[in-house]
Amino acid sequence: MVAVEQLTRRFGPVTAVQNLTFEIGRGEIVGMLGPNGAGKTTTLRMIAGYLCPSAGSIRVAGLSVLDDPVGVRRRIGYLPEHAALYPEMRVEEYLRYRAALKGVTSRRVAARVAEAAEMCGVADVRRRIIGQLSKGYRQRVALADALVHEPQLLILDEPTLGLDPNQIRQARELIRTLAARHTILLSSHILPEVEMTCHRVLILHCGRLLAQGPVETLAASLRGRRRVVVQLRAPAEEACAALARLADGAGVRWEDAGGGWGEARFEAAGEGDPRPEVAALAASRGWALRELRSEELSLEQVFVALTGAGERAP
Amino acid sequence: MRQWLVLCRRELAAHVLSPTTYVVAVLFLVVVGTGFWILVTSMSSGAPSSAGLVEVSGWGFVLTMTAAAPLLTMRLFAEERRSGTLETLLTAPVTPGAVVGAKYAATLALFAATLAPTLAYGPLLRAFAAAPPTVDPAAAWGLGVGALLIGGFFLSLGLFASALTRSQISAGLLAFTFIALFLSSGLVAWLWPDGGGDALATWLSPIAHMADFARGVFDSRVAAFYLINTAFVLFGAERVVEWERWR
Ligand SMILES: Nc1ncnc2c1ncn2[C@@H]1O[C@H](COP(=O)(O)OP(=O)(O)OP(=O)(O)O)[C@@H](O)[C@H]1O
Ligand SMILES: [Mg+2]
Repeated sequence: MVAVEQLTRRFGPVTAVQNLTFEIGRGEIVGMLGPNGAGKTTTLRMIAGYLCPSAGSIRVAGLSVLDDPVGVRRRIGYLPEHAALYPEMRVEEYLRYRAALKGVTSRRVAARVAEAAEMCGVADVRRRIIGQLSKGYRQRVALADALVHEPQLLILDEPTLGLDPNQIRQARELIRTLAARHTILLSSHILPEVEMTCHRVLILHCGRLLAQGPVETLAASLRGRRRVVVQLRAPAEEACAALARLADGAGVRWEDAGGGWGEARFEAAGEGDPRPEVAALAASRGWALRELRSEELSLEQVFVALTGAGERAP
Repeated sequence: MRQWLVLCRRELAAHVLSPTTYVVAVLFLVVVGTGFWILVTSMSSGAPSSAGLVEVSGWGFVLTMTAAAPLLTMRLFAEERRSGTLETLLTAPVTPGAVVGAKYAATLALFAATLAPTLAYGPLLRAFAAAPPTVDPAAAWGLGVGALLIGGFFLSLGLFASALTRSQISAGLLAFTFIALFLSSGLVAWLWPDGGGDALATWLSPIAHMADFARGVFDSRVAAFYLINTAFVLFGAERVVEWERWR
């Protein structure tokens, strides 16, 4: 559905995207993950035909973005990062305008608008003026706009930006239902979000593709890098020595937590979850245990892990 | 073609909802009304010196357009760029050329509509003047065509200015500067007194053109001059919008 090859984009001296190569198959939901400034928006804008690449090629449904930009855009529904709408228009009027603009035949405009509005939960505000809607509703109108012409490919740039937790959950469900009919490429800088909605992830950092693969593989490789936090009432040296067996090379950090309690943090060696072993250890030594949890590595730590310690965001 | 009409309709709707449109419409009503009043008083005082009148109305029109064209066009691209809707617009399956063309056509149509009260000019005179003046139909047509040609060119300059920036104010000022530069081409005569300067100045001067049109003199070279310039400036605007993708 999408084939990107050696894609590079420069803004003057800044290289926003560098030698990006990836493919997306029909019907996939692919998440593009990266911290601020990673080049997600720039990449999506190039695929959507708003920006032209400095080098490299993009093909959507077999058409080159450079040779047939209008044909490509007809097959794409694009939700920009900051949903920008005409504030003076009414929701329904705007969706009708967009549907006609994107080539929905006059006969089908009303039906398509009604369906898209229904799916995105804006049917009950369709008579309202867009400028008076809340940010979340405007985001939904923009999403309805992106799907109103039944595009083969949906490009969603941070689709849950500005939504409340409840709406985020609804948006995730919506995205999953949309996957039945569309190929979806979305961006996010929130790991769990991508994990929950996507089949596959592309990890972008400083304009480069660091890793790509199915969500489970990535999640598994990250789970192996869990950090364990444990609070014990135990002598510091003894506890550290015992826990060091379970920790990786970096060792165990011990902090006094007051009242005879101490908190140990370490990164687990190997793939498995070391928590049962920690609990068993505490029981066998007769140490009191009041907290035992594993922390997910933050996205930033994931990047550090993936890039090796040297490379950091500018 | 249908998409182009859809774009035109949306642009027209935006114009109708924009307060500047009404400012411009009032501006024209005042200028046209003043012209009408001068005409009526000069007729009632006996000998209407039509030559002077035509000159004055030519000036009046051109000066009004100098203010009105930036007002009507400054929003077109600058506002879409500022609010981000340009991204939404340009990722729809339309070419920049269609967008420029639709914005221009809608603005020109709106401009023609704000001129429409002028049409009441003739019937009113006929109805209320004691001795209705004989209106030369060629002059009346000439005035209309001249207004559309010259006004159309000024509007294209305004649209071009709007395509260059993200601020409506800068777009308006830039448009005003472009138009003022074009108007001041009349100063060529002063810079280059005894050469072809004089001829060049009359050849370039929209005021002289307007006066000619108002006398019923239709010079196809003048019409071509405006049409070609307008097309050229619109093409420039299309290039600017397209270039933005590459920058
Ligand atoms: N129009 C532009 N002009 C100049 N530089 C730009 C432009 N757009 C993006 N950049 C630069 O390109 C880099 C990537 O930006 P981009 O917006 O693609 O990041 P992002 O991954 O979408 O980040 P975020 O998570 O903050 O949305 C940044 O360094 C940014 O400063
Ligand atoms: Mg972004």
